[in-house]
Amino acid sequence: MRFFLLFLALTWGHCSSADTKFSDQVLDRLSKTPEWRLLLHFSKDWEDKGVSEVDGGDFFLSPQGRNNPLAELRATIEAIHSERLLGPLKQIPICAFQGRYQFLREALKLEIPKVNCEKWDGFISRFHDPQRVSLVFSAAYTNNPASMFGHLFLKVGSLKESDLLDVGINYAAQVSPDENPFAFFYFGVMGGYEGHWSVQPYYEKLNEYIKSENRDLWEYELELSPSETLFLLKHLWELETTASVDYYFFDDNCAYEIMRLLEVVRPNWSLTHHTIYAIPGEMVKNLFNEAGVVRKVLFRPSLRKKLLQKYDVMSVEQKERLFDVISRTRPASEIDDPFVLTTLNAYFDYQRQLKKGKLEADENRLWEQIQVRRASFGSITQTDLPEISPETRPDLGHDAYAVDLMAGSEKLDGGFYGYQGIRLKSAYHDLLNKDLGFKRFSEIQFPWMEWRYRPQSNNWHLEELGGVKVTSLTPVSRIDFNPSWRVQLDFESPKDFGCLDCRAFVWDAGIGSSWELGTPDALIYQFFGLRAESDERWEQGYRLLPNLEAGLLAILQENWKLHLQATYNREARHSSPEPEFYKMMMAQSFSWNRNWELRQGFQWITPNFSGDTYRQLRLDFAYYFR
Amino acid sequence: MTKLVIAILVSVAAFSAQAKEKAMAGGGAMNQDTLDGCGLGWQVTDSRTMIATTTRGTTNAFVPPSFGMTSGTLGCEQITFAANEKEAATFVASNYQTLRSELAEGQGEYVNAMIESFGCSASQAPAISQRIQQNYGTVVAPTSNATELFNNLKTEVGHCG
Repeated sequence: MRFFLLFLALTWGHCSSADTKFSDQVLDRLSKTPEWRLLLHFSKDWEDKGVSEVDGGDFFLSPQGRNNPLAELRATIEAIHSERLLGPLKQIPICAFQGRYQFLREALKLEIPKVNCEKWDGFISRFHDPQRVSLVFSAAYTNNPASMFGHLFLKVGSLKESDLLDVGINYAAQVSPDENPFAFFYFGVMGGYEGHWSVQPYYEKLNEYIKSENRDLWEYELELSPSETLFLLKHLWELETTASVDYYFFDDNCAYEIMRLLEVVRPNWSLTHHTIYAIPGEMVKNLFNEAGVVRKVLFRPSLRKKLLQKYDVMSVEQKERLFDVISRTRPASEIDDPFVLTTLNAYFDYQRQLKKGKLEADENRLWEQIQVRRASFGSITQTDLPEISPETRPDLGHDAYAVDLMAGSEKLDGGFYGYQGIRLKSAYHDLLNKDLGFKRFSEIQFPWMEWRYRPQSNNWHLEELGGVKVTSLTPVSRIDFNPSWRVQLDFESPKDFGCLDCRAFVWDAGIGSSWELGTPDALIYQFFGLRAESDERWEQGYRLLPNLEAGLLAILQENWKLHLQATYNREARHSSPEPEFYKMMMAQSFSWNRNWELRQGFQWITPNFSGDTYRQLRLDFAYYFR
Repeated sequence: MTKLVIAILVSVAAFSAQAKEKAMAGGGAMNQDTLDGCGLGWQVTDSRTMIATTTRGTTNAFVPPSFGMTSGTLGCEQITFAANEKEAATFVASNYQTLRSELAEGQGEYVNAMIESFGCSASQAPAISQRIQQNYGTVVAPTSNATELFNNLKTEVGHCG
């Protein structure tokens, strides 16, 4: 910013007409300003010799543009009168580069010829006098593996009061609809797809996320003025209509590009910090790196939460009436309680979303009858509904990565084996983490590793190498049933056959149900699972372990969580006897200051056949970061 | 070694599903199942006839499908409206079921947006929504698609724009 102001001071009064030649000194200075560098998608700092993040297209007017902001600056100035057609929309430079020329008009008092830019005009008219920009985060949704880290997009507000009529701006890879998953993964990671911006009415975006995927939305309204909002759209236009940018799944994705776009408008904001992977929910935290970025925060709960908000306050009689209508034992016309009808209305709205927009004909008919009956009561004074908890707000949660120092003791066959170790975790959240900022009682874990050192044998070994572990526990409700499920893929050490250091590849999947224990702070769950472990030690190289599991998760206090779990495993074998064993676990966690955590756990594993029970006591001390 | 490869392949499938979702969400193709009736792919011409297409266009600007594209279209019906009603028609078409639901309650976010999309001010919304609720049996209940609802609402909301 200082460079820019100094620069302005130097140039004031130097420019007199559109044909003015700017001195080399002036242009050199301007080319080094963060404003100009960010417009070209270079890094802010002029001493950084990197190239632009834009990969190609017609974004660079100079052949050296991608490496040289000064060359690009000269070329942009010289292109004022150019008739060269750029990009798929075939625009002349002063119509295509809306952002750059506005900047140069201000910085150099450059006179831009007045031209009719029809395509730009058509585009900007969709925004109805843009006023403000919000960053929107749609929460992670474990019931859909494709939505695990959430998503970020923008919302541009107008003068209209209803924000449903705002415009949503989205950045995503452009992929053909029938691309196969493996090619898609490969190209997504390696940058084989182009990233593109698209705009659509905000209500359409809402329909996608809240209604079709049942996710909470968080809107962070930013401290951008109407003119800054317009400048953002101008830069968006020049980017999308001329640039070619490769989409990289891990670090040049929606989260990253949206933050870069915002930095162009406010160079003094630093919004792109991330470690390895630009996780949307973690990137949101960058908005709070400094004060004055966020104006206000709005919460849009999912349809499911809004339905449960009504259902959970109903009396027993009201619930009976509700289910009478749903089960068709009582017509809607006989219901005298408008709140029951309101909840029924919400119920069918939710059902429609579950069924992807299509209800059966008779369900539609019933819904219509409910609506007519409800309308006949007119407005009702709304029953006091409890607030829907804003606990999924992403910027409040613990960070994604962790370093965990641990110490423990294993007991087997009369011997005690102490160990110390280190566990490194990448994203995201597990069952013992504090749930603030995340979906309660959910678990999404991506690669991790645990190394242990045993003083007795004076060696380090790899205890665990994790691939993925996802657990989704959705409490059953009479009005909405969702099964609970889990999957796991890793390399770890089973302790049930008297071996401390044996390891195997593990695949595990389970399906079951969860139940609230009279309070949303406590949950019990049951799973039927199938686990496959592979290693040369077993005949055929693997063993299959069908299992039954039950557990309890409880939030005892704001920062204290308890987890109990028992699993019965029985090896599937053609020959008998079939080995069986029990695993029992008790663990608790204490968290403070968001990113610090202490955990303590016990584990017992009874052996298959005969032998000693395996026991483990362990303590973990973890620090989370991003 | 094979186990490791299989493990990686399975993770690949999970990752790719995720990235694909993001792409599709951006491209809008995901919307197909969730839109009511009409998508948003019509062209407004002077003869004021809307035709279902999968390309996007406005009277004075063409933007490539990756930009300015809203969503795919599904069974869009013929509907007649004036150029200045486009926003209202689009809104009703996309939110038909939600509007039915909120109009029965006599209030709601989508009702307010619908009223504004007709050019009325937000302050007129409570009175208009209550009136529609009182006349639900004639204005909303008999309609079986977005077209009919749009035409009824047009009459009911009046010309405040």
